[in-house]
Amino acid sequence: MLSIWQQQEVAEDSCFHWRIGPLDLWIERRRGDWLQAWQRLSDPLEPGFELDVHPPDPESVAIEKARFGSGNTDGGVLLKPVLPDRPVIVRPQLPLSILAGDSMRIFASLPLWICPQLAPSGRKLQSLPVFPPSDTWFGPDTLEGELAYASLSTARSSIEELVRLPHRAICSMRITNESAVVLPVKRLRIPVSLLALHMAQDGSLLTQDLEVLLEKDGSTTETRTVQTMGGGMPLDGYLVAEPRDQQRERSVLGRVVQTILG
Amino acid sequence: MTWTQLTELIHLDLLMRGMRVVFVLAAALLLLRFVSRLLKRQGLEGSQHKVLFRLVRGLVFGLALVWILRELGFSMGPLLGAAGVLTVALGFASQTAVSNLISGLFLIVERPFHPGEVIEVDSIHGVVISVDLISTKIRAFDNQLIRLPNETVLKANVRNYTRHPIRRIDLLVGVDYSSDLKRVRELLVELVDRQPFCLDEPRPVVMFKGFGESSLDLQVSVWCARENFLELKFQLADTILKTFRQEGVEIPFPQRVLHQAGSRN
Repeated sequence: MLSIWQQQEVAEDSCFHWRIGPLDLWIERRRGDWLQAWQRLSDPLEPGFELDVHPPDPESVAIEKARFGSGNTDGGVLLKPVLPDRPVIVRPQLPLSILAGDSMRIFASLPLWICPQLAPSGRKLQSLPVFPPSDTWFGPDTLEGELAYASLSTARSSIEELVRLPHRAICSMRITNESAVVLPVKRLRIPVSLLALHMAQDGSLLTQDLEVLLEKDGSTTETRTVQTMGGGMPLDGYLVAEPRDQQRERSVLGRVVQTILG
Repeated sequence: MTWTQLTELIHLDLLMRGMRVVFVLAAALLLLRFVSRLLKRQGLEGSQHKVLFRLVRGLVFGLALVWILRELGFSMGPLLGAAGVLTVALGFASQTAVSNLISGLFLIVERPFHPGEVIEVDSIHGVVISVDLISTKIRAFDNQLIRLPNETVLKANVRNYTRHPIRRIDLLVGVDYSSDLKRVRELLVELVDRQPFCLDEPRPVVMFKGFGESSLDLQVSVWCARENFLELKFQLADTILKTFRQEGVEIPFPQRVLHQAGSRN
């Protein structure tokens, strides 16, 4: 799994192929330009990954392409995983509630984007999602809110129960209910733009842990990132990607969890 | 007092007046600069900023001019009287223009639309180019320029299609009376879930509209990002047609049943 993210040397007039889950990606180095091509399988949870050197099927109509002019096509190609460009709204598959005065840690997997970079210059080709997640709207009504990505989650309470996929990052959240009533959790907004991406020793991708405090009316009192990953592991894993947004979002301390009472 | 002293006194008086005039002009310019920045901070750009700024500039310079003329010794009485008469005459002659001007101010303050947004005013559709002093300019979708008097716009029902980031598509579907409604709804819900542009939340809805003359009428309501509106509407229609054909669900043509008088069948 680690080798997917390692730099590959691409000879001139040759094409390198990556299979990362449902995404087939080809990058061809030509004299004077780079050609990037991709297609996707229909199953977003396809687990496979492979590397080889072969061009895409010229007959395939499902392949999309992009071309990048470059006076200097020296060097190799590095695939960098990054978190999505919008918040991810995680909806537990089964109705979930947190008991009064109690807390729960849940693990959810997040979709990833792939950002091909030329080495050693660091110049970027086209960034694309491994599998485009569904769009959704997060807000109190249709006038106020933001566009986000939707993710249906089993909301596992143990990281071991989670299926590890090379194209999904694992995010751990500890949700604490400080009120005196049981609070249902229908949707969780994960502010991915504020999270960094780390790689653990086994090659799995993890974000920083999140701590969420719920008040009686279901709004959050505080949301913060902590310096651990994977539910308490120290952050000594390899840093893969910095947060997309280095500055605090104005509303991130406002509403991470939207609970709808009754 | 000697002649020299008198001359010096007059020169001093003129100097003082001159300095006051310069000071008033400088203050007026500073005030206008402050107003311009304030308008920009309120989010007013382009033509809206220009219109309001021009009005304020006219007012400030007008007042400054009156003060300067008084300072230079002109009597304002006759001048103001003449201005009053002229204002009444001009007012009668330019009622429409003044009404449009005031309507324009209301539109700028209320901001029901901004340049670049797609609106509909009394069945006129287009993209707003600018909100000017007495008219609003719209570019129709076939690239015609449409000039709407501001009074008309203020009085009309205005729809703004692009103010909010998401929109709902309502697609009416009629199916044959022999169709299994429950099965039709399942098919519609499944195919809507597969649409990439369709938002997960707010949840799509399939509702029964009524027993039509020729068909059972349903409405499919889905939400999307506004930039995907047209594409999703087309994809939805295309997918519904293909799915209904595959599943044997008929979308009937308008029908009439005729009974022959005296016939038992």
